[in-house]
Amino acid sequence: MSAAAPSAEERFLAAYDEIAAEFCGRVRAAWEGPVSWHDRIWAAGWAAMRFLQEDPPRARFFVVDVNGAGSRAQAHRDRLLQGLADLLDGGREELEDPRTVSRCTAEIAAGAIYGTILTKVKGGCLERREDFLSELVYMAVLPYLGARAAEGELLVQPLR
Amino acid sequence: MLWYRVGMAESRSISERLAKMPPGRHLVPRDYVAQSQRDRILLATTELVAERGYQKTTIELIAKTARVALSTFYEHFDDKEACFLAAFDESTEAAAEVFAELIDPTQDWTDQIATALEVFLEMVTNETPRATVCIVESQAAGPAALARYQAMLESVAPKLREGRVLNPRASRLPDGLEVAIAGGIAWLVHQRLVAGQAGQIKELLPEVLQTTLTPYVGEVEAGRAADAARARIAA
Repeated sequence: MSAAAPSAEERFLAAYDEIAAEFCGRVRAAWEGPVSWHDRIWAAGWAAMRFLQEDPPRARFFVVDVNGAGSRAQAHRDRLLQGLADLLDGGREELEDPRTVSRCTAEIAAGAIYGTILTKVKGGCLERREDFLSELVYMAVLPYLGARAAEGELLVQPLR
Repeated sequence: MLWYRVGMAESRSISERLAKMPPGRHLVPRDYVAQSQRDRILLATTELVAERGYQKTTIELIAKTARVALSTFYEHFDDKEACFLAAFDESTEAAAEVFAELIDPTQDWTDQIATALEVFLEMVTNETPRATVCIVESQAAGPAALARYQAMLESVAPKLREGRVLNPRASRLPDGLEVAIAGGIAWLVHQRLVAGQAGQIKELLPEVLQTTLTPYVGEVEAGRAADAARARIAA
């Protein structure tokens, strides 16, 4: 007797997990290169941006479609965002007193970064080849390097 | 006008409130009965969806919990999605009323934001089922619910945006900053609700406030506001 065919939800999750694994692999590899937390944020952000830009339909599936795909899909998405929060949380070491901030700040930043990517992808930024990496870096460093330094990131020219 | 208030004004659980609402036929005006039925259906939907999730909540279960006939459910709503959306709308409208009442627009902007965030986190703690419906389940209940969730985030942007006048370099700030901040806070709360940590959400206020204010007033002033919030919580 053959096993039951996977449901639409299971097929969706399998496809999502495959894309997520590739995405995380590339971001992790970029993260491992530089030494400073600030440079790692830029490197990981650049890798993430390139991944999204190279295949806009895949990016739409990965970033937008996952939202309306049910509770299990949400949980898979949230695991990925918690991984992002782990990377951001390293920014605490940039503070004079790392104890003044908890992991919840990294979670807010991760949610804000995801919200920004979602809005941009939904709005067709990838198809128009618009670069928004500096905005993502702004959100990432704001709680750890401060408003002035974060605004400085917005002046960095897009990387092509 | 809603018969309930979100948060501070109503401390009974939804189950207790349902138990107090009269089921069945009464010698009361038809409109009142219809309103009471509708309210019971919405409360039952809120509680069930928060407990079991949208996908595992059935119309039969809603009707049974609300103590109305299945046919009565369909007199009020076409399907489960319409009922969920009505529950979402009533919760967000009630929350908006509380914000309008408690936030003084003549206060300093930073004080308004501090009050708004404190009220919001308090509401999430005191009205966990409603918060779960609006922040967690709305993202799993189909495109219309997802659009409402997005609209809810966008609705806070104008108030946050007022803070740009406090930053002399505000023209540099990203256009979508305010919605992104709202999304970040919503995701943090979402994570706590999913983890069953609603009771600890109020404690997040200082860091939520600091992160929200920093782009507008800088980290030093935002830190002062966060310290004040910390002192209020400790007191």
